[in-house]
Amino acid sequence: MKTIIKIFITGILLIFFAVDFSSAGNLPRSREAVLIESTSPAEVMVRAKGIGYWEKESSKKKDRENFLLEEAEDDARKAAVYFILYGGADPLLTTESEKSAFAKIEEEFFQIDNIRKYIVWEGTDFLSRTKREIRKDKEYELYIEKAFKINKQDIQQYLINRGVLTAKADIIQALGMPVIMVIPAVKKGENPIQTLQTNPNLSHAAKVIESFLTARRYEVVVPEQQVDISQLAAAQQSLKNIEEDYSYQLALSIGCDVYITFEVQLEDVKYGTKKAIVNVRAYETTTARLLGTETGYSPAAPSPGQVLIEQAVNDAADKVLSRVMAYWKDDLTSGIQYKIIINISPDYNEDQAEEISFIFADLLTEIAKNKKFKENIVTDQTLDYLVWCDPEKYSRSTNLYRRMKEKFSEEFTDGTLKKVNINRKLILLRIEAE
Amino acid sequence: MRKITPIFSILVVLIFTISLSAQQKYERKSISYIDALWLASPQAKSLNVKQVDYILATIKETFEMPRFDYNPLPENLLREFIKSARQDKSLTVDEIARLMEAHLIPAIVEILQGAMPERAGELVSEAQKQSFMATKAKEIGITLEEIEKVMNSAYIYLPVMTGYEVTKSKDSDKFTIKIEGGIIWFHIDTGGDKPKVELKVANTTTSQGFGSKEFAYTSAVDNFARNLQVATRDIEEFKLGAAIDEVQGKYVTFGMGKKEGVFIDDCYWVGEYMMKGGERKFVKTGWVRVGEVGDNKRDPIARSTAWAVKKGDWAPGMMLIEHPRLNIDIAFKIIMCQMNISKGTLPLYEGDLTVKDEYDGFAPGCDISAQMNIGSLMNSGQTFFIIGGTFAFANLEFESNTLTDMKTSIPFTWGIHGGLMKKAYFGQLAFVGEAEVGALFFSVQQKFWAGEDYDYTIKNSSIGFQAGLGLEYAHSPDLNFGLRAGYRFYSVADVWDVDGSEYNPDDYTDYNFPKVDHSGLTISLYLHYTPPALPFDPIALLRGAAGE
Repeated sequence: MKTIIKIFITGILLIFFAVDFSSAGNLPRSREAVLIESTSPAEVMVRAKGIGYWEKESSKKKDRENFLLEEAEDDARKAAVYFILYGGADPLLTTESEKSAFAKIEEEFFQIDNIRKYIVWEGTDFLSRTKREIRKDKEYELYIEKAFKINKQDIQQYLINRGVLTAKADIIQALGMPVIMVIPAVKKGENPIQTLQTNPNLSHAAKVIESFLTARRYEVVVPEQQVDISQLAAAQQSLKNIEEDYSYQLALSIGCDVYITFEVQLEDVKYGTKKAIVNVRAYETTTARLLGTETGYSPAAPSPGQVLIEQAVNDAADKVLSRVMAYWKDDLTSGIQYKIIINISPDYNEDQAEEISFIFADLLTEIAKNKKFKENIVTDQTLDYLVWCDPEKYSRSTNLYRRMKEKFSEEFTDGTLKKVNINRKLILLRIEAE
Repeated sequence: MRKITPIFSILVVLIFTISLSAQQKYERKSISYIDALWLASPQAKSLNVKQVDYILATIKETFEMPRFDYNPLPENLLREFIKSARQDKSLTVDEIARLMEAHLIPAIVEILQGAMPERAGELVSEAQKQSFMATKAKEIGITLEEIEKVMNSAYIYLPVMTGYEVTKSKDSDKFTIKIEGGIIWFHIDTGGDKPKVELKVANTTTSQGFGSKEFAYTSAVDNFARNLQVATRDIEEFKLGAAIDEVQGKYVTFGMGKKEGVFIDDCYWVGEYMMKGGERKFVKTGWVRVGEVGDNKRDPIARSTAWAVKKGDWAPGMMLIEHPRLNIDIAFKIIMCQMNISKGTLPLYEGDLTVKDEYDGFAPGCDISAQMNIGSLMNSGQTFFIIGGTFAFANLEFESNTLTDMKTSIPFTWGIHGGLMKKAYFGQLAFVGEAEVGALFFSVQQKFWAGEDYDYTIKNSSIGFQAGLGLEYAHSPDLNFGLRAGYRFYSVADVWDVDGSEYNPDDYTDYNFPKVDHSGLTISLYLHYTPPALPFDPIALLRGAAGE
């Protein structure tokens, strides 16, 4: 009986370890892959290496080469998908929580049948193929390299369904999708709208970025008409260093969450070929903080400039957009961000101005989610704050303005709080003496 | 006629082969030829206009291989180049390269740029065809990478003649003509700011022709060009190569075909790249011969099929690399041929010559034949046209009743034969069947003294048919060993020739002439060798000997 129990327990343990071991084998042996290009907003071309491993027990000797090849090809497929998840400048899994959530399902995810679902196209040519003999006739490794087209969007959807990534829908519900303004980067003193209207390459690049973003369901603003930024400019008179940043002022005036600037260069290379280099920068509107910058390149080719620009934009935009979403997801935890600029009438004396600033500090402590707000500038004439609010209470800037106005009138009787301009992100106010 | 006749000063420097990096898939090269012959020695300069024209035309025709694109050079530029080359009597290879840069390169670059969409389009990889440019932008997907490949794939060749020797046969009006020379390949390097011409490789060969003066010359040149063509195909950059697409039993398919000039029975090494001692090396694991040639001129995705002779454990992605050789095998056989020579007597000038004892046995000998692969012409693989000569000794004694001091050589048979041969491979073993017609001669030399020295050759000839079956083992793509059994059906010959005088038994009814019967079994052990070059064309040699 004891023997039977021993055999039974041993068997159970063996099965347990066997299951555990085999499941550990789903991850790719090779983690080597490089991005070739983003062929569309949903798909990327990747060049991935795969490693096949064969030992004497793996198969009959006559089947060794087919076994090695199948293993290496499957490994390359996994490595290509692994790259989408973890690799390059634009991985799908960015936060520690996402990575740890994925770790729980990675064995299941990396089952080859599941991986195949995301491979839209697979090259038949081997970009490289090298075998290594570890022990003659006993142990071999085969290294191959192939090109794959991966549907990144499908992987993303799968991860959302499995709760690894936060669905865009959740973010939209909480914050709405970020509104993104797209504007060319210009030299100091130049007007980007005018530049956009006169430079066909920039205009084309703007349209490509717009198309890229709308394909991903972002709200996009490409300011093609002059926008009145005089009020903002007046309000910011005291804010040094940014007063000449037209893009920032424009973004604030429009009220977008993020603004993207871009530069386009078309270079002559050789034999009549041209290469497009597009630099894309994403900024947080409220602070002009750089969220990400990426440079996209087209291959040098004898194609029309606009084709090359589109290719370079695809290359850069895909990478930058992931930074934008990472920022947006991160911001979701803090709340909706508003920039509040208050002009204090020069009629108030120094003590009164100080009192006003104290009132606003208290007021924002009460309003802000988790009491999170930032004083950018506090002077006798100008107060500049950044405040994060609970989206359930203050999903609109007018709600916030109303609450501030009510609270301010309760605390301060020598003046009234009036709005100068209010948009999605910016609340521009003035305090006037009674 | 165009000649370049500088002093041949440094050709020795050219006789080398640059070690080239391992190649993978073949990418088309484009070549330009200079319609001029560099006569690089005083002997070579003795060639006349017609001879030079014949060499140039033959080389041009032989080198127009489907694997190459051609960049034809304008006549006026060539004239300028040749004029400049002639001005310097001590021109070196480097100086020729500089002249090419000055006179020819701008035109070649222009031609390359003009042909770019077509040539670069062929280099676009399948991954690039899936790219943004080729899909959404509806472009063909050519990038600078392909353009640079096209620009760097251009070569120029210049034929050179270093030796020319004519020897007249002492006892006939036949000539033996020997020519020496080669092809110098230059590569156009467009990688830098300015295109440069650099020496790539020089292939040299020696070739001979036999026959009338004209025939000897043309056959020597034809063989010369053929040898150089094989040497050219053996240059790493020019070797055809492709990855295996599919393995089905002993068959492999690969993505080359008529467009690259793949022919039935062409031999390809199969192997893979392996890491050995920190280096990536191509390791051969077997070889194949082409069975079906895909028509990728008509259908770009058409594939060719090859069958394994020596098969390794193969899988898709492994490489096929061309093993260029002449399509002529030289077969050397050690033979035992059954022969019967009956007793009898021949009346000769000074006394009778008698075969006292009947000979009935196997005569040992040898056979040399050239086996030309005509598989591609017949559209049936492993079909050969054979032409050869045979030689055997019969251990037989001739006696004379009157000439006691007569000496005879050991009688021997020799002959020529020609026909068809077919092989069927089963792995490295091949079954061989052949059928030939031929003529055999029995010959003995008689020497005696009757007041003065006499030396006669007594001959007897017959024609017939021979067939054989063999089994051979392919040791390498170039070397087969085999065993063959055959049967000869030859007429029984009793008409003799004594130094040009015919002795017919009908005229000598009192005599019983010895009868020679070559019919019977033949057994041979043999080896086939497929050479990369031959010093002469075996068929042309026979044609020359036969009177051309």
